[in-house]
Formats: sequence, structure tokens, C-alpha cells
Amino acid sequence: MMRWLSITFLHYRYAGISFLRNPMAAFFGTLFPLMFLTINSLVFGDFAAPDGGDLPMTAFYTAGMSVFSVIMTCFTNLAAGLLYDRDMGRLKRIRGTPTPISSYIAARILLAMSVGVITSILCVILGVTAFGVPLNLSILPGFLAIIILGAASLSALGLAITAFIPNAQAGPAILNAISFPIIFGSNVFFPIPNMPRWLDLAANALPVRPFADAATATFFGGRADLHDLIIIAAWGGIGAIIAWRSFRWQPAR
Amino acid sequence: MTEAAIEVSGLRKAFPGVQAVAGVDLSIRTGTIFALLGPNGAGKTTTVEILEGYQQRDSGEVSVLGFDPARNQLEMKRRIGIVSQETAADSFLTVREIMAMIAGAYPAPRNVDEVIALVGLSDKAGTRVGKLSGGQKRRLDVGLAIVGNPDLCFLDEPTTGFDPDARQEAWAMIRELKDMGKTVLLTTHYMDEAQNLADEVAVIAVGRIIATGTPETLGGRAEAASTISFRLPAGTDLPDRFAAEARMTRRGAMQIIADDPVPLLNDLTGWAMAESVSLTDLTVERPTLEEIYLSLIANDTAERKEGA
Repeated sequence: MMRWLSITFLHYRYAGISFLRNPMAAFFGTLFPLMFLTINSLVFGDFAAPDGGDLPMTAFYTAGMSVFSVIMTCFTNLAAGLLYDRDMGRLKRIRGTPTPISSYIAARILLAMSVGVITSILCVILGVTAFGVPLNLSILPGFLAIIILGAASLSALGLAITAFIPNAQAGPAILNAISFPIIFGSNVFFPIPNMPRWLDLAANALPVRPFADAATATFFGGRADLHDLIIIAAWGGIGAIIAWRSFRWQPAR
Repeated sequence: MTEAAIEVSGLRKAFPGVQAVAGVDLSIRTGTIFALLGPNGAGKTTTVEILEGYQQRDSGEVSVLGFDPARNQLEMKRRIGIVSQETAADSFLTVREIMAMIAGAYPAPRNVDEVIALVGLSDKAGTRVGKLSGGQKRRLDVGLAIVGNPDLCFLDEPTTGFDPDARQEAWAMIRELKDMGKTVLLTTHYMDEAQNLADEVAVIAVGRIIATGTPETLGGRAEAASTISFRLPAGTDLPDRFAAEARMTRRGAMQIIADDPVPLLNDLTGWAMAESVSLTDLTVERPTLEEIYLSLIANDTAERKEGA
């Protein structure tokens, strides 16, 4: 167990160093959500937030972009990074060493979750300091718990999806084609009050809208819907099982 | 030292439309350097990747240090080191960082800076992998394969892209591994590499081993006829007893092929001394390993065509 932990920490550390030195990864994972938060807040910030009592729209954007940053880092970036490393033969190299599989995968997931959570916190700090979002510190533990749950679930899904993408070139196109339609229909960028019923049902069954709704609810000082939490966790479980059974260390021949 | 590090019998592996490995038998003794030679697509890499645990076999018995590589046990991985085709290191990490990362997975690794020095990258230790040249990256590959202090090293074309200096250094390092009691399985396209390093060689073609032996005896090399070459001064003719056997090369050198070169040389040099003829560029050569290898592959291809 000590060996497992030390090898996990080793890969976490070096994957982290590599991430910090890679400007593209840092841009999409962290600057992108902060940029959207800024633009949305400047353009639409004066409206009142839906279901937010007297909270401004910027509060909604802050919660939404926190969720968006988790989706970008834990799902899109984790999957794209693994695909690239798989194509380059970096995963094959790790596979040739006595690194436990679970230890390497845990390191990559923990790193993606760390970046996602840190970016979420940066979104909150930016919202509070630059756009006057009122923040009651007592909501933070609940909000962070939702962010961490969502990060774990989306990381498992990001890992699982790599089994179905043939190579790194195909990665961004497929990942964005999956994630963006779901994000737009899931109260992340803007609230959608009147969706067609079938779309409404679909969005509620997928993990992003429950995640966004739970994050917004806790950020507004309320409680997350238990139903939402179960959906987020269930998708994480499905992702973990698929990832465990079909993870590939080398590109298909 | 007679215990086998690797034992393979009846190994088979097919891909859709290709029988990549068609019944390979190998026995590699502990503490020796074994070279697997063969043309591209002969099944070298597939065989080696099955031994390393990267690929699953269809059938046959395989034992690597007593382990079945198909079961992918960490205990086996702790005792092997791999230089593979198609692997890379994170280009944003430095040489020392990637070396420490890989070393950290082994229970008793070698000193990271020592290994970096051994592969000649000391002045690049703080350089990011992405900034290394092709040859330097390959040296890093070799370093990463030995940093875990493994008992058995798989070196799949380890000196591809090396300049002559770097190759000599790599060879010295591989011999050093042997001196430390390690076993090395080497695949290579360079016959001089096998000649210089290997205790034993095996030639693989179309998924089967077609010859095994030492570099000196492979394919009957030790008994093979020798070629005597020399140049004659202009206007000098060979006596008839030599002329019948001799042929002239395109570059104007004379060649005589002899199963036993000693009496013929005695006769030839005796004549030259008596007649004051200078035999410039006189050499006696047995076929090189490369020539033996090429004739083995050519014969195998011809037999296969006849059989078809």
C-alpha cells in the first residue's frame, strides 16, 4: 500500500509538472472558463439570476463557469491528454515498468480533479472580486463537495471515452461534439427555462445538468437535489467500470 | 550460469491475415547477450513484445525469469527493463525528472545521475526531453531501461539513429550489463552489432527461427570457404594453376575461393616471392555475418517459393 501511494504520488507530481509547463493545456483548462465568466458577466451581469432570489446573474455565471471548468479539465483535457500520451507511446512506456495500473490512472484522475477544483475556486474568486458576486462563506463546503463529486464523475467518463476514440487527432472533434451540445442544454452557460419535454428529460438523465443544477443550488445557498447527486454518481460509476474494462495503453494497430 | 532466463517453445501469434509468429522456440541462458536478427516484418518485435507482456500469444509456452508474461505481474516487471519501438517520454519533463519518475517504480533502482552519466547525457540532465536530438532520445530510452537495475533487458533496436561514437559507447554499456551478470535480449538490423555483442544469435524469417548459433558459427560460417583477394601489377599474369580458380572483380582485384586457404596461400605467396611480384591489398576473409545472414534469408525465401 505504501508503494502504491508513493508511485501514485510520483506520477501525480510529474504529470503536474508537465501540465504546468504545457501552455495549451493550461489555457483550455483554466483561462477559457475565466474568460467566459468575464465576458458573460460584462455583457449580461445586470440581469437577475433565475431562482436566485435577489442574487445577480453574475452569481449564476460564476457557478456555471465553475462547472464548465471541471468539464473542460476532467473530461475533455484528461481524455485528450491520455489520447495524446497513448499515441506518443508514453503510456506504453509506463506499462513496461512495475507501475500498478490503478496507481497510474489514479494519479491522472487526481491531477485532473485538482486542476478542475482549483479552476473552480479561481472562478469564484474572480466572480466575487471583479463582479461583485455576494458570497456567504458557509456555502463553500457544500459547493466544493458538489464540484469534487462532479470532477470525479467526469474524470471517470473522460477515462472511459478514450477506449472509443481511435487516435489523438480524432480526440478534440469527438470530445467537443459530445460535450458542447450537452453543456448548452444543461444550464451551464445560461439558464434555459422552457426546453422541449424530450430534451428536458434527456438533459436530466445526463450528468452535466444535474451537476450544474446542484452546483448552482448550493452556490445560491440552497441544498442540492438528492436525485441530481445520484445521477452524477451513477454516471461516474458507469465511467469507472467501462474505463477499468476497456482502457487501452497503445493505439489500435 | 546455465539456467535459462527466457524459455520459449511453440510460440504462435496471428493478426488478421498474417501469421506473425509461427512456432518459435528460444532458450536464452542467464548472463548472456542474445541477438534476434531478421528482416522487417519477420516477427521479431511481435515475439519480443509477447515476452515483455505487451501482447498476448495465441499458443505456446513462454517463461520469462520463471514468470508467464501474459499474466502481467508486477513481480516480473520489477526485474525487466525495456527499450521498445514506439515509446516516448513526456517532452515537458527534463531528462533527470523522467529518469527519477521511471526509477521510482522499481524497488531498488540505480542512482539516477549515474545512469544519466552512463548514457552520456550528463550535460543534458536539466534539458527537457522535447529538446533532445533523435540519438539523445534513444540514449535516454536505454538509460530508462536500465535505471530500475533489472536482471533482464529487452533492447529492441537500441542503437538506431546513433552516430558511430555513440554506438561504440552503447556497445560498451551493453557489455557492462553482461559483466554485471544481466541477461540481454537484443534485436538489431546491424550485423556488426550482433557480431560485437552477442554470445548467441538467432535468425527469424516469416515467423520462424531458421538458424541459431554463435556469431562465429551461424549457418556453417566456421566451415565456410574463405576468399583470398589481391591485386596484380599491370602486365603480370597468374600461373595457370591459380588462373583456373581465380576470377576478377569489377574493380580489378583477383579473388580465389578456397575451402582450405593455407596451402593455396603458401603456393601463391611462394610464387610471388620467387617472381618478385607484389600482391597488393592481400586479404583472406571468411564470409561476414552479414553475408551468412543474407544467404540464410535468401535460401529460406527460395525454399518457401518451391514449397508453394
